[in-house]
Amino acid sequence: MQTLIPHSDNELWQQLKDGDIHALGELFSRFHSRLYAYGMKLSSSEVIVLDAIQEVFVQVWNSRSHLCDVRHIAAYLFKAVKNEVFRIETRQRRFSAFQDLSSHMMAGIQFCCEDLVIQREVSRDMREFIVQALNKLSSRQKEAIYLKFYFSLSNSEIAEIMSLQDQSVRNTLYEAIKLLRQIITVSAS
Amino acid sequence: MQHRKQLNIYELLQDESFHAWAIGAANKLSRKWEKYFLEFPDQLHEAEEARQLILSFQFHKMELPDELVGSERVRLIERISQDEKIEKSVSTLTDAWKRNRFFFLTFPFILILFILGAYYISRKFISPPPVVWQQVVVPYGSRSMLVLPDSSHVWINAGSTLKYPDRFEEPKQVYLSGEAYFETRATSASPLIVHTEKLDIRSEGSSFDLNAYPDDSLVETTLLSGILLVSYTHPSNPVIRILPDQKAIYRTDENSIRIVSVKAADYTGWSKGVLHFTGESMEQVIRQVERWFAITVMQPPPVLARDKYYGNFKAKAPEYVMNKLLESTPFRYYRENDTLFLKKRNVRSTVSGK
Repeated sequence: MQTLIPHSDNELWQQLKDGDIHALGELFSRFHSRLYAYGMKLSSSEVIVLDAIQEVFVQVWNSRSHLCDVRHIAAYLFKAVKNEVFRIETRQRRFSAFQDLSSHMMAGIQFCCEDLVIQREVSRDMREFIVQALNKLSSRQKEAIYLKFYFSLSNSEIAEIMSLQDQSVRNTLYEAIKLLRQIITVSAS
Repeated sequence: MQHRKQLNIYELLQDESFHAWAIGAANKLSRKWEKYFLEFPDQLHEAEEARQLILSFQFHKMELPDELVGSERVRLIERISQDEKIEKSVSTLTDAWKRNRFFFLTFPFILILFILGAYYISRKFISPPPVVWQQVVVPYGSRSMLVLPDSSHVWINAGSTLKYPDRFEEPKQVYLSGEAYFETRATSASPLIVHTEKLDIRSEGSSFDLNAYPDDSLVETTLLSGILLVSYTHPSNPVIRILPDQKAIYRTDENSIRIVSVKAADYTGWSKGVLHFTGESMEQVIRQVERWFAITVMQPPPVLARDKYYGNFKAKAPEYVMNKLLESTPFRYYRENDTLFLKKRNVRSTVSGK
């Protein structure tokens, strides 16, 4: 796919800034799946996630004349979607005060067995352990692990999305991996 | 990225290129990592564990069907073009504002100037409705009171006519034939001029009585208070100012004016319903009585012209007044309807009576 389309993300971003709406559409198609997956980890409502992605791209288009050059387009969009999902969730929660939406709002990212790809090397039991280990992490660790292992994002991109310093991301990941190793080795033995 | 230094498992796990190599995504990286492991063979164990971890944490890729992504993309583009349509209609308004800001800001002032101009022109060139003259005719036997347009008060005596406009224009003017008592609201800048047949009176705020019956040989004006000027048709066209408690007496037969000091209040008694004589001749007294009671007095030859009569009468009937007046004269009267006939008394009977 990358080879078929002659423009890189950054080139598309530049064209978008120059007012090319096709560049916007192209970026939308490229990032939609990733943003959708990420959004669905933040909210249980598909409608909210789809609307949030729409909203982010509309805002990008409307502010195209004063958009700065973004270092990591992916990180910029991830962060925008995250903010938008929370904004919509908060607004909806305000309008339905009696509904307990907090359950999926405040818990942050939760993992389940279905999230993980079944590997020949990894047994079913092992998968259970891994998921349990993942869910024992703090929400910040979970988010960092998720962004790292799902999207293969760089530390600086993760830092941008989570509004952290690069070093904090490094430390967070270090702590998380250490904890996961411990749990997994204890469980496996 | 050149790996000159040794990496521990955590550093490996956080390295994107190791990640990509571990899941077998990028073949071109394998050479680099093989080189790395040759350089640091003791790292193989850690690298293997890292690879295992990465594989364990491989997540299902959540994918939306291509059609859904496509329809979402169409939805986005449609929404943007709709927003821009609205934005365009809004921006044409703001553009109009920006281009014609001067006009929008000055418009109210121009409008006010226009209205003021229109008002001025209408005042200047469109003439006001013409002045309509009113005439009050007070018959014999009655008196009337009137407020002029400048709220001056006028009491009009019996047998008098006052002409006045329904709206005063400078200078304020009225026409009098007969007797009237004025309390004017005039000033020196805006005087009230009372025209009579023979005299013109200019009041600059005063209370005065003006007696100008056309059948009298005298025209008299008496000032109670304020400023009053009298002018009459004369070669030298004099203007005479009179003071309070003075009376200007104009003799029509001589065309001359004489000023005398009087008790001015005596001359306005009629306005309060008191018939008042202050040294008039019998001829004048009779004319006053005629007007006051709306009667006619048939007079004898002027044998009593030299006598002067004084007195106040609140009487309702002319007989009482006549009786009093004729008491000391050789006259008597008899009445037929509204006419009194004066007759010399029977000398004999008078004599015999004595």
